[in-house]
Amino acid sequence: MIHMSLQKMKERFCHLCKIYPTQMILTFILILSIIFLLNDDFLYKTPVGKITKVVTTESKNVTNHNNGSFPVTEKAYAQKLTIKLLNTSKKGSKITLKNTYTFSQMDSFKLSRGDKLFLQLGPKDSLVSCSIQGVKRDSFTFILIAVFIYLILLLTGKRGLYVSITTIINIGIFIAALQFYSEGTDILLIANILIFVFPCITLLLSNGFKKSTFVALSSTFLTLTVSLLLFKLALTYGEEIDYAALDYIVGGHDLEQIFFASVELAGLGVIMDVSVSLCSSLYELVMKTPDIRFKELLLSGRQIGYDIMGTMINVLLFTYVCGLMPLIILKMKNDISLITIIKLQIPFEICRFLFGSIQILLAIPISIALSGVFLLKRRSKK
Amino acid sequence: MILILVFIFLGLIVMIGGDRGVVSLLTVIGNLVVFFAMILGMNAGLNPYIVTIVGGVLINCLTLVYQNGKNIKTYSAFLSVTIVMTILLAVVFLFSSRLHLEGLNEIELKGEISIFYSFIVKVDMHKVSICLILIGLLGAVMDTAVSVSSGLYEIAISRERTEKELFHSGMCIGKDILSTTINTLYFAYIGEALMLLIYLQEYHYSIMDILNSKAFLQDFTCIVFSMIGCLLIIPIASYISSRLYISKMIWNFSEKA
Repeated sequence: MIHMSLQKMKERFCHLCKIYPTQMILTFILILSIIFLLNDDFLYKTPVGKITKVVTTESKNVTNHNNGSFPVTEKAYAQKLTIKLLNTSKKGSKITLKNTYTFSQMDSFKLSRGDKLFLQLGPKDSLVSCSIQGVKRDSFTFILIAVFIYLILLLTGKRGLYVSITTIINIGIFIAALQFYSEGTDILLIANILIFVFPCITLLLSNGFKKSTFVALSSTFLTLTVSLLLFKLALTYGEEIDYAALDYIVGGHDLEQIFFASVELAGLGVIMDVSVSLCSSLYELVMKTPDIRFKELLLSGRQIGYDIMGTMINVLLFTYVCGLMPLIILKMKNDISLITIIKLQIPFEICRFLFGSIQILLAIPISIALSGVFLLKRRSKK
Repeated sequence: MILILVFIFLGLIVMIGGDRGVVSLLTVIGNLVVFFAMILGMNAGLNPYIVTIVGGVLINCLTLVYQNGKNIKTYSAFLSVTIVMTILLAVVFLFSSRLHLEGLNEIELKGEISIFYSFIVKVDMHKVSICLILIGLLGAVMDTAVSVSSGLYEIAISRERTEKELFHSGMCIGKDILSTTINTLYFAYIGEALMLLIYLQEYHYSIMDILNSKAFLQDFTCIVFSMIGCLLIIPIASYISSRLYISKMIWNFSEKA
């Protein structure tokens, strides 16, 4: 019986391989790379250990007295970890270490069996007085990226390949730009070059050298200019914002400039998205009904604009706002009211979100107008 | 400054969007209210998973049903989003339990936060970290689902087609919007992460350090999960929409006869 079913499975497998050869190869590569990534410890010079046994015990309660008249109490835990070394000369030997965490895990974390850690061995690589340096996260990061590339190739084929190549080129340019910045080039100059280079590369590579691409490109640049002028106006005439509240401040940098550069870059994606959607649909429309009037073009453009506007704004909302959750909870439990937090502590996320939404809205009429001018003018010449 | 931006935003959304703009505005405000209600719920000690599921369904209803009206397009988008979110819940859970991205990252812990605040908050940050990834990708997934299902609807009513043809057209629509969605997410990410990346460079983090750093990965995994969500929704939304539309067409036909 088992032999029969095995034979059947083998047949079915061969059949699958015949119909979907590339898909099967891709799946095979994915599985191989996951297996490799889960066992890549020999590549590291830093000692890597895997937790083989965890004993967790409750220790005393801890209390937070910052929360006004309602002190918060939660449990603290101590863990005894047995760790097996996976590389270096001490490979295979076991050590025991301690870890403590509290229920909320705000500045500590609960470790479990199978987690991998970077370790710091004692003097002269001895196994006494070792300590935990950090969690080894890179294999899972790479697996995540591998799954993403696998899915994009599997589902969208050739298009996916172009998209991945464009993204890789964009990442490369961005890394190079950061390098230039660290060597002393002005950040605003870099950002201005980037906002010119990125749309050209992205749109031309992913949409090809078509008339609609050039219309979309010009609409992207026009929207960017208009929106950045608006932003500059709001910056000069609005009240001062306290840049000290930005995350990750490094001394000796002009924070206002860095913030402006980050805003410039963040908006590119949405503007391109709206422009491409509008320009290519309007182009299709002009191709299908060559005697279309500008007014009709305007009306259908508005319809498409309505449809994308709402959901696009929501994409921005969730991408920017969701990361704030832990900080807001932390501050609320330290007796800061939600209103104060929104007003004073998170202005930058709100700023980015609002500005991105303004860009989406601006891009709609500009794209329609430019498509009207370029696409219809060409026809009248004929 | 924020006030000026708010005024520009309100002016533009009413001017350009008209009635539909007002609807979008109300949706955004509603979503924000749900988001803060979720935070309040978690803060009050409710289970983050339950809060997220309830909040996610509410956001879904608001964005899809309120904004786009009650129709078969909305229904199919809603169904596909639910399926994708369920799949991703499992995937995110699996990755998060090994990635340990909960709580504050090492750079935030170095800053003034650790001096002024107490870290005892009685909210399980591990669960919160899973929830925030899921909420973060909800927007992008809904966007793609709506585009696929409404695009397919236009094709389905234009002339008679088989289910297979419809599914294929759905995949084509998905491919068209995919590149722009991925770009939106990519640029939003680098804009957000610019400060962090300058910080990491200033302190001479090596690439391996960056790929193991909690500060970098907290945002990065969020974006990669959003992209994976956008990818997964394409075949699922195409499949569900094509099934639903075909069955609806047949039903309409029999009703007419």
